[in-house]
Amino acid sequence: MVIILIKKEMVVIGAGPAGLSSAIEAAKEGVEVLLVDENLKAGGQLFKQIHKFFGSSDHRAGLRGINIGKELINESRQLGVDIWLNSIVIGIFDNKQVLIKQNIDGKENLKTVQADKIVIATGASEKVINFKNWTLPGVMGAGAAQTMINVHRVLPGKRFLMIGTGNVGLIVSYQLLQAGAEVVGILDAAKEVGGYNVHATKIARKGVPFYLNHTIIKAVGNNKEGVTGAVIAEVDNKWQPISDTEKELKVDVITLAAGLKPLLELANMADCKRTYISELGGWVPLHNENMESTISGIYVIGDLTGVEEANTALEEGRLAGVDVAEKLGKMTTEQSKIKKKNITQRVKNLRLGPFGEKRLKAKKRLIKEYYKISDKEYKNNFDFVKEIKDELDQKKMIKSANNIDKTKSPVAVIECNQEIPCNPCELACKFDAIKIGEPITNIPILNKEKCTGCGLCLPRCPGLAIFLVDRSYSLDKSTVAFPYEFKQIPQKGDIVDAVDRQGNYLCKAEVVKVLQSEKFDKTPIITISVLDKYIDDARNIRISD
Amino acid sequence: MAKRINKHPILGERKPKEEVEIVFNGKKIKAEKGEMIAAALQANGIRIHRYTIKNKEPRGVFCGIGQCTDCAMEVNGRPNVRTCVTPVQDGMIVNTQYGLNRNGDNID
Repeated sequence: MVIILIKKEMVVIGAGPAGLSSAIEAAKEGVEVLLVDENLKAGGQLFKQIHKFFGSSDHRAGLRGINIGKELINESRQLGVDIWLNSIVIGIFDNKQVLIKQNIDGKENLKTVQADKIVIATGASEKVINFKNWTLPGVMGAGAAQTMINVHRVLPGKRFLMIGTGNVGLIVSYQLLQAGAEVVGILDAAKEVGGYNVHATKIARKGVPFYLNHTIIKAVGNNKEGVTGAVIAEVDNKWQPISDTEKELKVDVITLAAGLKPLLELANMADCKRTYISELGGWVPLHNENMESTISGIYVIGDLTGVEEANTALEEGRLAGVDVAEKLGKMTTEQSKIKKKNITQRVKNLRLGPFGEKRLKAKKRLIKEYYKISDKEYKNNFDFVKEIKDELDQKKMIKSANNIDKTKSPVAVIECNQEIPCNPCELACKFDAIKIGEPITNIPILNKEKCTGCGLCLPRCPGLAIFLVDRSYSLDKSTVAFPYEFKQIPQKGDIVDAVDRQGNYLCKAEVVKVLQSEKFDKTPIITISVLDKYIDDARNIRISD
Repeated sequence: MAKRINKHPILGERKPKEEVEIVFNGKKIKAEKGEMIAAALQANGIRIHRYTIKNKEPRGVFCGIGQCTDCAMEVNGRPNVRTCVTPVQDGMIVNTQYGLNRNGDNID
């Protein structure tokens, strides 16, 4: 095997959102970039993210991850980024030499690339939880099931039990339902849902049982079939299982959503100093405010430096890209200063709110001079359905107080009650009726006077948390419109089962409108009519797929 | 058990790809050109990829992205191939791996 030596100004390892955005940002300034990825396709894990992303327009919020991936790849190609796929970085050696095993048509070539700057964006891998029989085939990472259904389009089983109620557990449960699987439950030892309410309510509306305060005792199965069931039990306040609460669920797949851990083998090999921060997923390489590691000229970005969302990965990539361009003399310090300031402000905004705060603090420990901690006190204890109900009850009281009459035409109802970094609804409204403002983590506020009931915000909300309620529909009936992303789309005139926020049957409902548009990006809007007394509870329908 | 997802609300209709055949433990099974070995096996209801050296326990797909190596099998005579990131080829010979190879020849 011949080793070929090549020179490149910047080598980016890993073509996920972080790596792609750093390559793009640097290439924009004229840096000669080589982007290397061991997979056959660029985009990292974006191609299994078929849901609409949170964030702001800077993060292409409201677009599905899969489309963001396509855009980033196109952009990097247009900018002339050299992309090597099916190429494994074997090591990073002294003086920034990167040894790469390139695989072209089954032939392996070894190439050494002499880089001026190296950006490591190796991402993260799923953490495991071990319980009895956890190694049986049929126990897999939630991300693995997500890859199977959304990338390979193979459903690896029929009945799934999801362990973990973080965003990954919630989103993958929803996508399993979309793929036609049965999710027999989602389990968490904590007493609260870990991820966003809006993700939890999406699957609650489909009737998925939440086993909070529960743990998995063991997988049931054998060496021939793999998993055939799961034994779960309630836990006491010391997280210990309560023995007489054990019960067996018939499942053939158990998916684990226990978080992710950074993949820092290459960063370690390059001698980047690291620290252990559990909020960021475990061991993480240290970096400064420009994402440069303790080794000058080697940058670390994305999930590798702390497990967060794709949006923060994009921004961290941009920061590194700008800094590389500056250090290589492709832009002036003044130019890069302005860019960095904007990116930094956006990253900071993404880390506000009760979810981002922990990561913000953790990152502050990594670069203590960098972030300010928000002094807001956040409620940490929530029951996701109850909280939305409470808020609604308050609204009802306001409603009766104001004596809103039946003649008032449709109006949006925003059931988004957590400070998460997201604002597509604000941009979707052409009538300036939805206000989020700065920071992006503010809870959306609806100006009912300005709301015309056009419903354009419904398909734009990545959390599917906006509904359109029309109390003026008829003398005794009201309508509710909601986004519905499942296979079986009902027809106008169909009689369907209306269900509440937990998927419980409420009443029969008539489908009065089905709106599908290319603009909605595969999120049809269904309008049903129900008796007035059900209108504050009816939030979904049940039709057998 | 497992099945292909033909209709999907977001991804749309699945476009059938060119069919290829692979040989799993001596038996011909159908796969789609370019798909990963692990996906083809799942679609055929196969989820045991290998048995461990010491305890002879079954293992299957765990991470699905080439990180954990639990899905390793013997492919065209070469053991320890990560089947979740290796695409099928027509006529490919895929065998359950016992220990370090098909025959269970282990280094003790």
